[in-house]
Amino acid sequence: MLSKIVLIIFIVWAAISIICQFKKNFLRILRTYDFWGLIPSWTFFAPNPVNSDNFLYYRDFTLNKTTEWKKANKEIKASFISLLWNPNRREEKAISDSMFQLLRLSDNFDKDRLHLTISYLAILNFITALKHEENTIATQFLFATRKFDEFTKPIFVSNIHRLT
Amino acid sequence: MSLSLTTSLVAFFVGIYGVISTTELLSRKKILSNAGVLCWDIFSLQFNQLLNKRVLKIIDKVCEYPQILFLLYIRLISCIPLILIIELPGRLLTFSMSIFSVTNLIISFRNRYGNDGSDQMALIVSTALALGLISHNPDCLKYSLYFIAFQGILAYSTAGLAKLSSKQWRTGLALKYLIGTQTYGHRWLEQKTNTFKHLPIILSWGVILFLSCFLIFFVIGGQTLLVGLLFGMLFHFGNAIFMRLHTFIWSFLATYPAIIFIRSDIHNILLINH
Repeated sequence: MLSKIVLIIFIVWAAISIICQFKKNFLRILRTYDFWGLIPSWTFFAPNPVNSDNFLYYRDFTLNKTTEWKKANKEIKASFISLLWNPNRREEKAISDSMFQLLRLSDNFDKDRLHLTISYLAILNFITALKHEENTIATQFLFATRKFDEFTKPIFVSNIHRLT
Repeated sequence: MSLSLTTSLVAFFVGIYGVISTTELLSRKKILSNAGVLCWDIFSLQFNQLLNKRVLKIIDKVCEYPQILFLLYIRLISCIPLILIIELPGRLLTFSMSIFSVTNLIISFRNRYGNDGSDQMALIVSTALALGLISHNPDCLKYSLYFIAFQGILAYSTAGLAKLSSKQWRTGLALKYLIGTQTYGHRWLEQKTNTFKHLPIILSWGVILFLSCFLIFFVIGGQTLLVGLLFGMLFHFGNAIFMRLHTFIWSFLATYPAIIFIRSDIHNILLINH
């Protein structure tokens, strides 16, 4: 009996996994309830490849000046150790996932409510905790993208947020 | 390869993945804190309407910072028997794999961002193997290995066919773009693609053919399958060097013992039926 139950679990899981490789809408619906990420999508950089780098910038507002845009995340240099162990990659991926999700939402989400989304708040939280200019009263962040052989250009600018 | 050795080898590779990913997270614990990009106070908001308040309170106690670090230390400790025990899938291995799997599920639930395909494969492999082990039934363990092998083959085949269907991949442009990015690219390889104009298309087709034909390697079996798995290892080492996708090596290697075992098991079943 137990082995039959286990077998059924694996068959159902395998069937859903196959369906989700081809039916992306089905996958999106399931993802809402798949809190653990047990339903995979194995397409890896296809059919649409990664063809750009996204960068996160921020600037501060003091009482008498606005600073230049500064890069929020450090550039990661590849080293021999990073072949085996690369903790910076985790933070970089978390930031890029938040940015990607926010950009996706900004296309079809009410602009006035975008600042209430999880991805927006996650990035704002990250930016707020960074080192700021002395006497900063507010901050703002920006996403920029650089495609192959092109200049870096801004694609998303946040609201201005008061720092307490 | 015996059922027990296969199980131990799958657990071994998952254990190595576990040590690497857990120590990476622990060394950058700030990202999990209230000042980090994976702040639980923010991510828990998405469950406000989906989950009962009482359930959410319990989850908060586990997922909040710094309690989550405790869970990460437990996960790290649970990896030690996975790496050390070979050929003895007994109670300790079952217990360690179950703890690893549960902590993995909680961390995956908590950190919706920042995970990649290697984390997902490790999560699926560890959950399936834990399910097979806790059943204390050789049939269930075998089913779990079948499932793990299936996910490995599905991953390679889907990745291959998705690339084959893309014109940008077939013409080598996708790989050229990818290599040119700062996030996944590599300066030396980018320079080589500029010098040797046909290199991106050669590499692209190499990747497409290997991934798309993986199922064929499996069906033929024997030395052909071993050659396919060798290509797979080289592919992942290449990705680690040039794309910095280092954890994929371990989570995908974890499926290899299951793939070899299942192929031989199917072969034996076919022989008996003949």
